[in-house]
Amino acid sequence: MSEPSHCLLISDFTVKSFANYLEADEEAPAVTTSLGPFGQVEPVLIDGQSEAWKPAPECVVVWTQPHAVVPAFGDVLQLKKVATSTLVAEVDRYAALVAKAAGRARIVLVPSWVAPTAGRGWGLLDLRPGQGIQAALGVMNTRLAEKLAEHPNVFVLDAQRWLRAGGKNASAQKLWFMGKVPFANEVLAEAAKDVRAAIHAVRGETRKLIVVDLDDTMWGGILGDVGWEHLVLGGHHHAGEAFVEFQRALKALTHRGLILGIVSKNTEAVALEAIDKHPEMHLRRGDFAGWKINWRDKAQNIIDLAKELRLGLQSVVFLDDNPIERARVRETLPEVLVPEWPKDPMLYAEALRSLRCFDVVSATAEDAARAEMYQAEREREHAREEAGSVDAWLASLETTVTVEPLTASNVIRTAQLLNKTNQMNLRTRRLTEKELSAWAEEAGHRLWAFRVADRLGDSGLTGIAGLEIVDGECRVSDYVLSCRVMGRKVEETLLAWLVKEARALVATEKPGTGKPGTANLVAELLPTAKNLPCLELLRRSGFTEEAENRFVWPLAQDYASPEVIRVVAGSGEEP
Amino acid sequence: MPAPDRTAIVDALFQVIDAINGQLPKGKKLEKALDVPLLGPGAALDSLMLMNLVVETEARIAEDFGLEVALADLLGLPLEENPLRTLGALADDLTARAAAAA
Repeated sequence: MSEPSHCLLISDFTVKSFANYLEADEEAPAVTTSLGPFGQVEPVLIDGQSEAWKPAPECVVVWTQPHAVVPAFGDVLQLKKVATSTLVAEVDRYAALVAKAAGRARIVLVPSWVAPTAGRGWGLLDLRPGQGIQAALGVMNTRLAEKLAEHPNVFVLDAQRWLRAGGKNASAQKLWFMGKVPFANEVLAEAAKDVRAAIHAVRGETRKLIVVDLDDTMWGGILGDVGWEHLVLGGHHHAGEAFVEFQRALKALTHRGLILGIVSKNTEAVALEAIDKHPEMHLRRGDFAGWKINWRDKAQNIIDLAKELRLGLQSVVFLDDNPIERARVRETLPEVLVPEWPKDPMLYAEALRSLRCFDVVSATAEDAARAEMYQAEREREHAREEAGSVDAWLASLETTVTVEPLTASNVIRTAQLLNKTNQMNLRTRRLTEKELSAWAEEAGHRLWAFRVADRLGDSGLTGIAGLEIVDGECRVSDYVLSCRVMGRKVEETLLAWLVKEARALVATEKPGTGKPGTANLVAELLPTAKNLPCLELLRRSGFTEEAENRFVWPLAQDYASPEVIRVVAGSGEEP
Repeated sequence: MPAPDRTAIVDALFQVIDAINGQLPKGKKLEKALDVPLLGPGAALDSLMLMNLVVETEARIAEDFGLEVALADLLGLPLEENPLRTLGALADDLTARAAAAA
């Protein structure tokens, strides 16, 4: 169960209903809220000692009406001409105030500005630069997003999308005059869902694997009955086009770092033939990281597929047109997200694009290449089967591990890995980029990022290791490895690196009573529901388990780095 | 369009309760019953929620029956004569307004 989250809501209008929606949602985590004093946006942002900040919020939402914080926009609403430079200067001043909140919470969310009414403003001229209301809002929102992008934990949210949920009454004039609420409840409910998605994202609780059914989900028709030539897919047919559009939407998500899998009750060879041969199939075999196409129970197949891809079930979303299959998976595997699914295939793509479970706080090159990495992993597995022995297979991979210090270039991906990784994670620390950088700079702390590549592909930045001196002991602060590279001796390579560097750190820092060369390296595991693989690794690593979950290695003794892996030093600059 | 009968109006009010309940935590959700007090002693709604109920009701009645009703002034009436005292009293008031408008 996720820890509860506390949100501070700072606004120039009544946000109690918005707070109600945040708190009423029964989905984890539980959210509590506190409200900044009404209309006191700027004083609260300026004064970090204000009472409003006392509950130590994880999340801050700063939701304002544009004319409340950018006075010149009030003139724009009065249909007066205002120089763009004046608007921009006022936006910059406000953005600087919002930025002050960045250091006081884990995440700061700033809904974009929208016009206070659905009125037509300058009508035909409303989008003319330097003249219309919507034109001014466009400039202001773009400027606000640009200025706040300098702060990695501050995000501007698209409030215009929420207005669509409110329909024609989205700008709630009656609620405004009666209670100073400018938006319909549907808008506030939609906003609350996005804020919850952001909390999940900052906690690394993001879905990574989309498992799809085939018949009547990826295409129309029952493959086994009609044959691949007669599937409803593409062509001049509304449903056929809709299935292609759904496949396009799935493919687009792979560019965001999502990976795709198939679980379907079909004959594997027949299904793969359809995927390979149908001329209008948008997703081909290479787009899927794995599949379980057979006649077994789908829940079991999802378990097996996730295990094969080294992902936890909490990373999985399952899409199936069949409500019975959905109910079965939902009941058997509560960690898997099984969204309700439209009956009409023409709504599939939009349903997929509306899911909030894929939000992340940053997007890296590794994310974009993830699908290709899994393709390379499949080739590795194939090579393993052909190699005969594990050692021969590992040698054939020609793996290189590049060790980098933490830098401004790799901190985004490093923090992302730290916050997302559950299985091979010694202490499951969750830190923002800023917190991680600050920690690494402290005396007695060391942190490295590891990139892994082999002849089949580049797995990217997939490991983190850290050391710290605590109470005269040299301890492993972090030992994190992506499931993508587990089982290839990278684990032992990181341990060897830590032992070598611990020796250097002890010699430099001379902690407590420890003498250089005689101290131990201590790896103390903080057990979670998910990091059993890390415990198992330590138990077979050669480290001595001197107490439950506490492992030590004498620094007088070398830890052999696996010969099949070449270790090189990197600069930490993005390749 | 013929005037909606009380049953249809009660159905519409129950939809309003569904919408209002979206803002209320488990255990505090409004019961769909005609004798539930909305105003005065024992009422489950605070002033903001009551305002929401008024606005949601206006929108629902307009959407379902094409009938424009203005309920905001009810918020200032004394309790004993206020149609907002219970859901049933509100249904009676709306049924009478619909009949008068037909």
